[in-house]
Amino acid sequence: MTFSTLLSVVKKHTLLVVSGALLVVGGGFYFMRSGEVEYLSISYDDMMLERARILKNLKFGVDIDPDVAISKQQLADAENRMLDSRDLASNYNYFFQIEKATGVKLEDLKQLEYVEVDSKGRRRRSRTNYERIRFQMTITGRLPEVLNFVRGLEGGSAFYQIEDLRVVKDKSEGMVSIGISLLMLGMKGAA
Amino acid sequence: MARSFGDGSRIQCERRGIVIKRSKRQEQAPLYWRPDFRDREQLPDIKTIRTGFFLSALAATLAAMTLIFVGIREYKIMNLKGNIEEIQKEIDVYRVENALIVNKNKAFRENILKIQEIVAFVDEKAVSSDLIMDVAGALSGGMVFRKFEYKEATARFEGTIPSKVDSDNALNGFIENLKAIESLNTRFKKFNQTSVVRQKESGDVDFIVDMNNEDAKKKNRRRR
Repeated sequence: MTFSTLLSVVKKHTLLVVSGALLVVGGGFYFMRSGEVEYLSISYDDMMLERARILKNLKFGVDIDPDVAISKQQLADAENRMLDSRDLASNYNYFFQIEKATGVKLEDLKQLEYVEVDSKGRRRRSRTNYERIRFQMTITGRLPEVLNFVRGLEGGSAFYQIEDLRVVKDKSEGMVSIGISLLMLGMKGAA
Repeated sequence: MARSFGDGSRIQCERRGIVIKRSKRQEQAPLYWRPDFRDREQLPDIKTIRTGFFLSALAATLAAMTLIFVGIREYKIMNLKGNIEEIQKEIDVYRVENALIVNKNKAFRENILKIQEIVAFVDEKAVSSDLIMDVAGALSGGMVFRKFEYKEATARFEGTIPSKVDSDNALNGFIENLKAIESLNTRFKKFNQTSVVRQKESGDVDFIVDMNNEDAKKKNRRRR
């Protein structure tokens, strides 16, 4: 088929040829861009969500500054009350102060490492923000004095938790002996 | 004016009259008084619309439809792009302010989480001076305290009931009093008389009451 024959066919069936060409080109273009609308629709939905989220943040974030300031202040106050596991002298002195104020006899005061273990007994990495510092001690005195010592812990600046407590009647008349294992909160960075 | 027909004949109209011209083939063909239907070539062309027209019309319709679909889709795409651009501009305006608020909110949440950890730690403590007072107060008349042990999962009380006191009633009364202490009954579900032994010489009764909670025991195994 020569060019002239082809040209004559095109001339004879112009409408058919032009329509066919348009159909092929248009169809190809249509299929080529078939994913575009879907992609743009998803992008549009995502952006609408982001816009809604931003507007919500702007709406509810108006009064956030005072809240941040209060929480920061409260946290700073709380952290100032925490112990430093490296500062043994200050930590022991904390208990000696209470001992002095209540008149009990404080013995066998020890600071120990607190280890978190998993169900299989393996050492587990701590997920908490603060360090737990363990203390063990024995206090001897009259019951009111010993109770005052425990109240001194309760009213003290440091955050504590009694793990174990053992109150035993002492051989001396009216005296009791208390063995306590305590957990105190400390700053993690200080460990 | 001239007009041609399917059988090749041509009628020429002139001012003076109508002249019918016959083709050579017609002139050569024998003349019949009616058409010979066996000779298809000689029959007049009765196709008013040809296949070529159908094909062309179909192709044109399909092409037009394709163009319409493409047009609609492109319009939709253009519209979506316009909307996206508009939202993007709006987002860009608020982006910096939003990032600032998000950072503040993150700082606030971190602070709150830390404060919550401290509060949870403080709330966990069950033993206090009040507990020691409550346990001592649970002793009924004449009973003597010997030892009280408290751990997270268990607690044990050891004491003595003088011989002159009804040991059975005194011990049951003591256990009921222990059960009424809030810091104990929230932690321990079982209050058992583990040991009751009468001393041979004095007749006094030494007793042990154990308190435990299976769930707390399991929890305690995870800590050392």
